Amino acid sequence: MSNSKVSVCVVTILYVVLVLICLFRPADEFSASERRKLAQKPQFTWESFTSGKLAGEAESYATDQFPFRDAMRSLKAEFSLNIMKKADTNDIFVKDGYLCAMEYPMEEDSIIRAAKIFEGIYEKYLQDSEVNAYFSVIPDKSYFLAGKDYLSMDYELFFAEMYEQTPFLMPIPIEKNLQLSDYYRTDTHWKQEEITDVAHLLAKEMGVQLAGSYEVKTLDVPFYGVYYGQAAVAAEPDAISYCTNDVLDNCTVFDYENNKAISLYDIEKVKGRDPYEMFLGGNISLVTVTNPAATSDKELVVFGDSFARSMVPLLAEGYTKTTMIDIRYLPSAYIGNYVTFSSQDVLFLYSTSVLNNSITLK
Amino acid sequence: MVFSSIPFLYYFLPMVLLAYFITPQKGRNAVLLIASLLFYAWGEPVYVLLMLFSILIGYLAGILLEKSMLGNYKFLTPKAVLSGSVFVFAGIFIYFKYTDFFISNFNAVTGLSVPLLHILLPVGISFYTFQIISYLVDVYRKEVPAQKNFISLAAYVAMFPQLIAGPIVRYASVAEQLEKRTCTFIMAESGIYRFVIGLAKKVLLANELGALCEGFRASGDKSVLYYWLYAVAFCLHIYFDFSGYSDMAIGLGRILGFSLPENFNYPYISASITEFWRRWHMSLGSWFRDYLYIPLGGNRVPKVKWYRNIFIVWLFTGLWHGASWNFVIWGLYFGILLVIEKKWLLRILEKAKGVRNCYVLLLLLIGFVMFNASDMSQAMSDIRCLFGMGGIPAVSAEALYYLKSYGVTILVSVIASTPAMALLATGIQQKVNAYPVTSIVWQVTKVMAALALLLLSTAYLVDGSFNPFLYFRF
Repeated sequence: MSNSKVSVCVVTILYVVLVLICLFRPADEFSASERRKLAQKPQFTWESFTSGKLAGEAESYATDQFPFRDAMRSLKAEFSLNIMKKADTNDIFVKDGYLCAMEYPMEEDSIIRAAKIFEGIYEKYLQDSEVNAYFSVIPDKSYFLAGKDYLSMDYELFFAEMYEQTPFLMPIPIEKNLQLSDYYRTDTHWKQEEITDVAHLLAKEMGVQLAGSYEVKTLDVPFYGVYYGQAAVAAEPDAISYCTNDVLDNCTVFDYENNKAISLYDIEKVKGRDPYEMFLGGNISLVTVTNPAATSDKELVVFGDSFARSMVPLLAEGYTKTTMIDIRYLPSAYIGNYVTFSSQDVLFLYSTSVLNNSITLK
Repeated sequence: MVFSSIPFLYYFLPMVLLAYFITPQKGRNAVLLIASLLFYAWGEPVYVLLMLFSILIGYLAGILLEKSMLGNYKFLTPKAVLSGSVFVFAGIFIYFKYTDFFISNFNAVTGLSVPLLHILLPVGISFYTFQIISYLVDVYRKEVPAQKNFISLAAYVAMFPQLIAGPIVRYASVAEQLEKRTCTFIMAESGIYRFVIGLAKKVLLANELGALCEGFRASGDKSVLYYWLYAVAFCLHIYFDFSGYSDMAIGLGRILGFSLPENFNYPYISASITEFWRRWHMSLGSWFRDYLYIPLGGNRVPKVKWYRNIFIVWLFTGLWHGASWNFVIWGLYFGILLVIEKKWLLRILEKAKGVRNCYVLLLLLIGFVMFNASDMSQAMSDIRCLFGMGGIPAVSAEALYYLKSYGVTILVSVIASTPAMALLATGIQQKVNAYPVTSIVWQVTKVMAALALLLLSTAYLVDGSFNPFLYFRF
């Protein structure tokens, strides 16, 4: 057999094997690493064919359902980072064992948009009441990691502009109380067990005292954060923990979106799409935490994102009732239907990632 | 459908190859035609009818032309048939490609506001129209007989490996292969390697460089360094995008038993702009030479007419690339450079060995910056910024970051744009052939390398990176 014949046969056999796997492998419904549903086989209709829609759907299906998809994505990421020496993969960089998204550039329009929405809330609900309104910006990991090696926005400028655009809110800067180890290595979020000092700071600034001794429980489930899936690089999983004590155990939590009582920490959600959703029920528009053993008789309303969800249980210790409102899911125009503002403390607690992409705020 | 996509690589291509090779020789043109129509219809189902209509007109015109040359029609001269059919094809081509360009210029000159028609450009029309015209001219010149079999002609025009981005295949060069072609393992092997190299050039290099160029356009942190980085990246991007596609087309052609013409020959090592255009998009250059430049008289005319001929060819070359003034100016820019070289510069360049490559690369860089601008004002602004006249800083954080991040990609691309790797491979091949063991090791290495490149390219596609083909818009 000639050399060419052997070469063609070897390549053809391996190619055919891959093709057969593509054709006959059952389709996966969900990608755990990417935390998304995968495209399914498109239905052929004459209309979808002539409009070109079928081609797009088939492309998504073939790409999503490619055999060994996760391994292929990892191959690309490792080749790109280690051989081609790209500084990032899919805008995620790896430094000091941490996976981090580049929060860049600073979007002035987004800052202004977020500030306008907060101003709207303030004017509609807060200015004629006796509430005390505060604002804290949570830096994303890039604040600690990017340095001069990666693109990052000027965080000091970002904080200054954000607070300047919201003069009706009292700023409580928290970035100096945070450090890189307060965040998960593979995820965007901070760790609840590492932010108790920030909770104390916030409470103190709002005139509330927290008892602040917790039992930290670590769940025996590997936590692969959102950046793990996006970057597709090899990384050890994080461990997800939560803080509890007798006071928190006795709190009652109500989910207004689904009109049912829920628990402060939903352990079942750790096995789900996004383990971080275990805090306060996940992406729910409006939740209240009632604390019969609060250290004060005050109430707190928190406007926040997913970072705030892990902070609220810590702050709830000091308030009889804490309401968490996520205006990514509940348009601010409807808040009055659920919350009456009188003399509560109101805290706007948002991460730089959300504020710099404030199109999600309603 | 594009070659560098999972549906093509792992669904369409294997099905077509299976159908093609289990079909007896005489039925393979029909398989090729059906596959090509499906390939085209996948993204452009409506315009497949336009292509079929063009093929039908070309087919009938070819037969009519041949009959008119035999004197079968008293009032229908061959010239009239050729002129009429070229007029029809030119009309279709101009309507789809230039109508809105003409309307917007008419509006600009007259101050009227005739509404634009927003006609969607049929993919590959610039390539298949030129192929049909070349077929008819070749029949008229009696270089080839008219094709009597509609399927054979249609398979030639619509042949999916080269349908949408070339190379522009002359009918004469594949006429015999359309009737009878042999598929050998040697051809298949070289076709597989060529295809995989093209795929890797497109996916691993061109797409990455394209993402850098896209990032540059979206950036709010531009600097002179960033402009240079962009200009270099775009020059490499367009080369690997287009030559990668041509490699894939040539490779597929070989697997199917066709010898398609080469389209690129390491253009960036050229010692003059004249040489560059002999190495870049060779099938288009030779088309314009044979069907426009020489019929106009070429260089065998008085000097003034010679220069006129050069400018006409380059005006059309620019317009072929796009209906926009920056393409026209881009074409004329090269026309002027070629005239200057022919009149004075070539003799000087022959002696200026160290400088001539820098001269060529600098002028190409400026040319491609112009080429990639959305309009002439952006082209001028880009060129000003490139030379520090745009009021922007010399260096920016973004420029430094991307220089670092894409440094290896650019370095690999620069090396791959020279014949260094091909020469190295040829050198090794010659050495290893002397011993059976080393020959086998080399063969295994080539197979492994091809599989690795296929796997890597697939991995990049699965991760859904940046993947447009630049020459689809032409």
